[in-house]
Amino acid sequence: MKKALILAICGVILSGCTRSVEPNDLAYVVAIGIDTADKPELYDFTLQIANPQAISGGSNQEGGEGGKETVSNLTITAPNIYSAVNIANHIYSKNVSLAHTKLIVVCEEIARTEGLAGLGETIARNEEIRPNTYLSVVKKEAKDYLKEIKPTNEVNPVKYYEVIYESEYSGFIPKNPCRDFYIRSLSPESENVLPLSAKVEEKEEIGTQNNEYGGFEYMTEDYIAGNIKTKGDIKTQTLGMAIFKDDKMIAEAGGVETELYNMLTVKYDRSEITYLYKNTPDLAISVAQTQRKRPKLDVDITSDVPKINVGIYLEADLRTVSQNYIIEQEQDNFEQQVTEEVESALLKFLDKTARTYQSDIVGFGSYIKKNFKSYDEFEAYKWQEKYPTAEFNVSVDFHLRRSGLINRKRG
Amino acid sequence: MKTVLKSRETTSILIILLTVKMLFTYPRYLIERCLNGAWLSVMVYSILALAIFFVTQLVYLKTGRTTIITQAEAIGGKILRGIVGTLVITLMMINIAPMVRAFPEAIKTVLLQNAEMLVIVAILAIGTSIGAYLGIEALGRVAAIFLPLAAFFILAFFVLLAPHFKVTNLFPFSLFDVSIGNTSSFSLFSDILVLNFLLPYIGDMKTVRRSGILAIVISGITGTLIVLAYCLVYPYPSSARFIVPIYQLARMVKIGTYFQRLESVFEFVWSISIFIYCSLYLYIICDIFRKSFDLTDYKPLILPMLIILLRLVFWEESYTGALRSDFVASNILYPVMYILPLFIGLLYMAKQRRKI
Repeated sequence: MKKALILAICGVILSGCTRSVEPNDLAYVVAIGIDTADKPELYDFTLQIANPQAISGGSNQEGGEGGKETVSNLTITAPNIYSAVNIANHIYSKNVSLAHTKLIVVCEEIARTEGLAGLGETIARNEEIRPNTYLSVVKKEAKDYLKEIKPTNEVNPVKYYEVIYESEYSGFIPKNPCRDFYIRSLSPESENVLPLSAKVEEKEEIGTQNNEYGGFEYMTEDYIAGNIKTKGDIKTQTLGMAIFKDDKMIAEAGGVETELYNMLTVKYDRSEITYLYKNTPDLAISVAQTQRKRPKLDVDITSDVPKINVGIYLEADLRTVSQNYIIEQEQDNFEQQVTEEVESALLKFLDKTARTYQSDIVGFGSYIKKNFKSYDEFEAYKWQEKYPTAEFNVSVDFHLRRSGLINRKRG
Repeated sequence: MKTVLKSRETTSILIILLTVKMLFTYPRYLIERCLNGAWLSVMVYSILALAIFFVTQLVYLKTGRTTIITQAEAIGGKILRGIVGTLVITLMMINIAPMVRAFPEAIKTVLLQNAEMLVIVAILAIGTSIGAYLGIEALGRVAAIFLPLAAFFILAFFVLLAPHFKVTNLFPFSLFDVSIGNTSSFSLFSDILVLNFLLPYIGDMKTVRRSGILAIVISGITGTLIVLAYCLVYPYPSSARFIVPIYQLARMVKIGTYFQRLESVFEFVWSISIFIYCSLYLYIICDIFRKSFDLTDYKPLILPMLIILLRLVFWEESYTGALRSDFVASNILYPVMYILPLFIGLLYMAKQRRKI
């Protein structure tokens, strides 16, 4: 009996060896790009595969420009992601694994014409792709965007995508991983948004995106990915958001609008913001702003027109001020002006989501669910049809907390 | 009979039996029926199960530490004993079949995609057989050691998931769906029938009562917490789509950017709990068969019973098909598991009175 027991225990312990795969035998896809192909119903899938040797060598050895690349790109035409992976397995010298995929980028054409509902389901069904994988819409071609990705400060491409898409300082892009995208695509309570990415085109007229929100992000352009005027080696940008309705992209919004969106959706951590102070209109007052409390959202559906109340709490530290004007001594006045600017910007943005986009991207629909006795009743209410008529009331509670290392009493 | 199970061991065994379902497909099964109110349904049926157990333990107080097999023999002789024994074994096999099927399927899907199903099932079968062979005392001790560990992991996951909670996900829910419209979720606590067959191994009736109540309360709280966490993270209808809800939750847990993929910790809890669960049931089934047909030892029955169980488990070749075919088990068989100890116990008491 003892021998049988030992054999059985060995069987259990050594079972992990069956069909085991060494990490070195796998090719880790870190990003996937999806573009339209020449034939309808087919897509160009660009698999960005990590080069572990270049990554483990560190940037001082072979990584970086001119050295061994940390990623390689392989574009395959196939009907879906898994067919592309299957074909890649026959081309690439290693088995392709999606377990470390951090980013899936889809070209704008697919997002606008076909929608991404199928993609959400495909990703959610797969056990390899993580629920926190980032999704993004790329202006023009996804393959071109991925080819231009050259992590400068990060050798590890996964880390690079984490920094770009998940940074707590990135108020200009929405944080909507594929798990949230799938949930929202199934639910009638809210619509989706995704970050916008682009490859910088040299010949384009760039750097002229008018900020329609006036005193909020004063003197800052409402940039969209691909339109930020930069000089240097970085040829990719992620900024702004793609707005969806019924799983199809219907519009794009700039960084400023995205920042307002983030404030309303608990996804805003902190950012450097500029405000107009009417006493110094020639200078944008810059503050480091945080949102310490969750926004208070309430929807009244007792009448035919939904009434939406929004309460936002913000805190800020002074960064730059006018040399000739002592803002520290007019804190109440400054706070009052900023409060009005944020309220006006939020109202304008919410009005735009209802009247122009006609898409409840903030997810106010989730706040009306408590009014219904069953899910069927909630569905029958058809919230997304009611939302374009909604009226908004915004109240902002803004507090200037600190003034940095300097506090002036005289000019 | 010699007392082999202490109070803590009995409670641990019962808690594992009652909660393992929650670690697999059961939360989804509840959400399909109760939608966003599934967590409330667990709470409601925990209270109902507690009430039924309270009545059952009053019967146990009168009938003493005798199992329904012994009681059936006293009522209707060896024939009734055999019939009741066969009925109970059938019920138990139908009860555990979805769990035994869910584990290798889940492991194959999320952990060992390249491994042969046969290897996974063989490992489960070997582990289960060893557990059943070692007997109830060993299983009780393992359960008592493992339970605090499992409780710690589950609570830690609950806390780490808190940032993803969204209270609005709990609405709307229909009270009709939660209560009358979803009587099948009553099956959650049907494993309490096992306590009847543990009676001869437990020292006194006070332990039986305390362990039963404690197990239902703790399992009810755990079940409610698991379903509540799932509902708070995933709103309906997406919550009704994922086959293994708690795994879906575990995948979301991360601490900063360094500690990710913590579901591997959860897979440990999964594996050990299902091994204990299956071993306990295999032991109880063999023991019931031994008592029902007057055999001297249960050990030679382990292999044949395991083969019958696995045949039943893999009756439906496709797992998608197996997930569809749960109607009979839910609505007809589970209530019998609650009623049987009460019904036979009352008949036994009546028979005893007549004798006097």
